[in-house]
Amino acid sequence: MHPFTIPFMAGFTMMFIVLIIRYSNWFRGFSTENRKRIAGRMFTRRSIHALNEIFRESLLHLKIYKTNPILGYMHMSLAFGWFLLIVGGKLETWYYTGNFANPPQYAIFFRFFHPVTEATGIHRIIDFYMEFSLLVVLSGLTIAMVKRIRKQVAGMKNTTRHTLTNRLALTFLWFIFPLRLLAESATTSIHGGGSFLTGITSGLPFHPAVELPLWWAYSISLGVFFVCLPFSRYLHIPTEMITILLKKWGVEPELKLKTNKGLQAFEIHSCSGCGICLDACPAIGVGDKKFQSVYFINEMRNGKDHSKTAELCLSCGSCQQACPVGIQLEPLRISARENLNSEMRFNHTYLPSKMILWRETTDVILFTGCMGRMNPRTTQSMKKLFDEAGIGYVHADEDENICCGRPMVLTGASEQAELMMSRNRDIIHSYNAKVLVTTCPICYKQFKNSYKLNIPVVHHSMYINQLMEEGKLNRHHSNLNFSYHDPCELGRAFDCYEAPREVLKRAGHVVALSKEKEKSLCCGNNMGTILLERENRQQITDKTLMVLSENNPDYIVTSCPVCKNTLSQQSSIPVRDIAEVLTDLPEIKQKTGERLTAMRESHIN
Amino acid sequence: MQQPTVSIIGAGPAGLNAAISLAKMEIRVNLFEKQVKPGGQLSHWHTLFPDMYDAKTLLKSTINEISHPHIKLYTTVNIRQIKRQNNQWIISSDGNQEFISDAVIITSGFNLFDATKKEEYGYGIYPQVITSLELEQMFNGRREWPFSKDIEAPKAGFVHCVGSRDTKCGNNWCSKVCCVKAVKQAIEFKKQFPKAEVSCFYMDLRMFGKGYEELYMKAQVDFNIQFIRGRLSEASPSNGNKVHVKAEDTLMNRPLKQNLDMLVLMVGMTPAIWLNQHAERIDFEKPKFKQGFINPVENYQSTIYQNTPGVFAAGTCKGPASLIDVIQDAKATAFEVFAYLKKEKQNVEILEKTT
Repeated sequence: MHPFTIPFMAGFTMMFIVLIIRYSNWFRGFSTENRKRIAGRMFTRRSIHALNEIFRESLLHLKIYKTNPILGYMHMSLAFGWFLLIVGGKLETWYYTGNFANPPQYAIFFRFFHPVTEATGIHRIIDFYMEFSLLVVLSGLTIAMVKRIRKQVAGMKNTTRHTLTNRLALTFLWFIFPLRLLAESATTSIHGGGSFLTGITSGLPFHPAVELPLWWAYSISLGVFFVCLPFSRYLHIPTEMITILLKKWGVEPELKLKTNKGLQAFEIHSCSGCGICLDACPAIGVGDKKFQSVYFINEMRNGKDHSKTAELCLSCGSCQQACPVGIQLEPLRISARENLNSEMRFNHTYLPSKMILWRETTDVILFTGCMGRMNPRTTQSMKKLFDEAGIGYVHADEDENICCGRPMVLTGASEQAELMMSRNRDIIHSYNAKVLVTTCPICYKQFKNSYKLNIPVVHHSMYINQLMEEGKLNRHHSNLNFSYHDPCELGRAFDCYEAPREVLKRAGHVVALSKEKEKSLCCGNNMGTILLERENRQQITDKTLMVLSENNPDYIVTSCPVCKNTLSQQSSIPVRDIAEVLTDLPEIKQKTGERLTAMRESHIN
Repeated sequence: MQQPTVSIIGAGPAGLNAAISLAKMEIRVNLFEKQVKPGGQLSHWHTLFPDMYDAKTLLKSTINEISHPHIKLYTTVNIRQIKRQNNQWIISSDGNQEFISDAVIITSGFNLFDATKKEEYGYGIYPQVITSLELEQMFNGRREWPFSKDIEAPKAGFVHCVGSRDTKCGNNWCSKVCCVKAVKQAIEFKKQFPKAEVSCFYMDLRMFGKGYEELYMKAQVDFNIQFIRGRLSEASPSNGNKVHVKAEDTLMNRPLKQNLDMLVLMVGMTPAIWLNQHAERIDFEKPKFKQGFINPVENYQSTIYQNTPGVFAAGTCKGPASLIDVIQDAKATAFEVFAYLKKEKQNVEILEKTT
């Protein structure tokens, strides 16, 4: 082999060694259960599904396409184009030599070794294919370069700031393909051969003396990039594929988060730092400290202090929804909080336990939660609706209530939430009911995902919708316009977008919004954190209200007590819970409380 | 050249007193009021702290004084905008009426905090929960008591700082007067129902004015009113037409629960208007979240509004103040306006002739 291939070979080998060391370290962190899962499922259909996903997401980047087609094309052309080159190179050399197991540098610098292949049909096709693939990569590269200067081109408002290693890797990555084109063009210009692309570029006046230096430069760029890869964000390229496999095999996150152990290590290093989560974050530009997921992951990856980035997030789930790699960002944050707040100890042993002597039979158990106490109107309305529909109910937490436990989980105190949960479970199981209805999406998520109750759990918007579908509740269509705010713990967490809208459509008109459903913004006061300054939360609320007020609706409606409480403090348009809307109709405006209207008219105005 | 005219926007205590003072200095006044009658918030009160002075008497004597040849009162006129033109201001109303004047005093006062925003206190949900203003109306018989007439010893609670010193609703300020007002109302309630049990839930008690501290002492010693340091966490319905409240007694470090016949929310002061300032005009708008009271040009020149020559502000439109302070501020502003008009070159001769 020619000495100019040494930088590439050295870089490639080094990358390979580093990757093996790092990956085996991470593998060593797998629990026995996870190892069993991998061993048991490796040779099943799951692997084929994983390969399909790798093809769709790691190479074609279909999810990014949905975010923005230009951004999607950029990622696709770089990844898939390069993949085409690698596959093509292998096939080309295999075909040419008849030996499949030729060394990688032979394929990569094939044109240098064999500038002119016989001009038979198949060679022409291969040459054309190779140059076409290169052109695909170069087109993506051009977009990437333009995006660096004008990010709006790719539909992005915010992009990530990268570390020095990342920028070094990026620079050499950018050099690789133009240098390949130049080197191949020089060779074509001197020796002939080539296809349509070098056919054009070889027309440039190449001096024979520049050919070898260009190949050297190409090889060095490759080498440096490969050396940087395991230490830069480009580690995501190999890692993402392994992560997809691991997830398809059903590997679960390790109980305690360590950034260099188990599935979490693979997830953290699967982040490409693309910054799509930045535009998705409702808290972008809020506060002094940037705590968006890409920064959080970056800090964990580099072993930096990530306490602030882990704690400040409101856990609305927008970034997780938008992440093209599908990293489970919220569980990662909660695990990080568990590590950070392991010192925090609460004592809830004073909570009374319930002895069950007999079980009262009823249709519905209503659970309104702590936030229900902040919104008595919602509770009152829900009870009115039950009465109207002839549904028997018990209000489980009417006098005394125990928190559902989710706020504790969100601060990272999952273990301590257990006691509260078991007490609540006892209360719920002390009734003989058909369903548990909760007016709070936060409680709903906790009950649904973590309680293992003996009865189904539904959110009140779903229950109301069900009652309406069954004809037990009826409302005339009014001429009121509602804009509906999707609570994150109901919308993104459970894809429950239609039930509340169906309810509102029966009572009036639901206006379309520029950001709604899976893209809906956070109200600014999720239970996710209490550490984000109130002022910063209020900024988020302001932005959200701007969207909700877009078409100047008569009412802003939501189905979460926290959202309602937060939005109503700042909104100039009245904010109502979905249950309140139904009990207030038809003359909702006049019915905002007779005394209240009277007071407003006589004194406030 | 004509005699100078001053427009006063808002005929509450500040506007009325400024008008009277200016008229005494031989200056013409256009006094605008959006309600049917002048008097502003004062017309809703029964008695005044700290001396239990009858609010009606004070209001009547003030209104009598404005029937002065120099004062022209325009009621049910809502001012929407003022515009500068050749050293004068054009005042436009909602009905597109226009008035020209040489100076403007903004005395738009305050609104009471909308207690429905603190839904956890149950205002508008449970009939036992009322505002401090509604209580005044119960004192003067314009409103029914929220509990049955048979109850001889009603239990009442007063919640301080509702919508004041509360970052959640964006009102970071102290409304100043609610502390002493709650004390006054509690005493008055005890006078009407001597067997009543009354508790006040407070954060701090700020008895800054003359006679306030004495009144507070009197409430404790003579009327046995309980003062509990701690905010209410919630109010919920309770059996037998009562409202159940939960709070924490932070001095005793103990959670506290009570069943009450009446819960009074001491609603704070919020700005009534927001001045949207443009180059040559000021629009009067409904305040949005966090748009606070009018800022004077500086704290030591508190009567002058920003750098707009001829625009002054008096009273609670600049922030919470007691009635006594408002009256003094209005009189001081009237003097500043007089001095301003005197300085205005065109008016010098006229002023010399008249004085």
